[in-house]
Amino acid sequence: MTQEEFVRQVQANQGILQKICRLYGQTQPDREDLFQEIVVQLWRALPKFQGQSKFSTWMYRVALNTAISDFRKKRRALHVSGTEVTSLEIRSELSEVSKEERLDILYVAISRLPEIETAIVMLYLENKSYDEMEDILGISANNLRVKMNRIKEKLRQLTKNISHGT
Amino acid sequence: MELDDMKNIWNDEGIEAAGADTISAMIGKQSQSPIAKMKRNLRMELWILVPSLGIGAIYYFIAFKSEYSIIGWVYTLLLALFCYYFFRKNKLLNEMQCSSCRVKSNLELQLKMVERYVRFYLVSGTATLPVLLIFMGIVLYYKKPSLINKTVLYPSATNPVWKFLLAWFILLTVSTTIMWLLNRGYINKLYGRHINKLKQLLTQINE
Repeated sequence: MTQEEFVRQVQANQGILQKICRLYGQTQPDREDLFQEIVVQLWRALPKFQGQSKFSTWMYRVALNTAISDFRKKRRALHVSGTEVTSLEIRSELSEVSKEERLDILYVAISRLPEIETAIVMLYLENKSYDEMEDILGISANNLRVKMNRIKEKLRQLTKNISHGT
Repeated sequence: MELDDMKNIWNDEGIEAAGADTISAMIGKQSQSPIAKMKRNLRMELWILVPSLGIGAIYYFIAFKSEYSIIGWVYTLLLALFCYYFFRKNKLLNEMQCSSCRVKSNLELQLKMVERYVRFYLVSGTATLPVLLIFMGIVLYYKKPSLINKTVLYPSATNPVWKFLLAWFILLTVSTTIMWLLNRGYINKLYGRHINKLKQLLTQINE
């Protein structure tokens, strides 16, 4: 694969990378650094990509490996400010919370999970099958199902707490 | 909020895309990963130590002719040992990461290689002092014979062999133990958090 083709592939799949950076980076500069580090690692690992799996699957592996094990700055959970919370609480009772706000709450909730659970829930939201998740993470599909049930329960509680400002 | 209900919102999220030029520019940049930083530090050690030891060896060979050429040989030996140390450490660092592998096997590999790296660091760092002491002892024995009768570290008419052996045993044991403790504390400070984090991530995967 030439450099041009590689750049095209990264551009086409960069939504994946941006989401990983948003979940694993604390601040905007952290996310930009992580994005750059992932691109560097992808380029270096490219000779090992033999096309046995989809480019996006391979990309998930490299990106998650970089975010989880290389990016060692202490993760701090994202948060929603006090006034936003009060407003969210009132409006959630009136079912007026917008899609963007719900997405923000979800990001905040996921950022409070441990690193591996963050990766699992992200792949789940990306509509990856348990077999694909196993191929990326190396955790058996059965174990992933059990973990996913636990994570769903945790997230239900976390999003409830965040909406109520705790 | 149900996770399954959020899938559509998650997948509809608008992403601020980076352009081709930005991505191309990133490719040429240096990696900031801990392993890349360790490799750069190792290269820096190489650039500092090889010329210093080389110059030291040449100086003793030329300036003192045959009188202190043994010190020149000590420097040469140290240089050879350092080169071995560099290649071994570099090999371990190159094998430490497999970013294309599954997350679990990459973490297991990293943990195994970091532990091996730390063990090598500890053993080689600790062994340096007793090896140097023995070398210096031999050099002084041949070059400063006047010392023989003044210290318990050499056998003489007034210093029986058992006393000389005991003195060396105590000197080497104490110095090696101190060096080992200092090295262990330093290595723990450098890599302890990294190893604990890797173990913690693997526990998350396996639990």
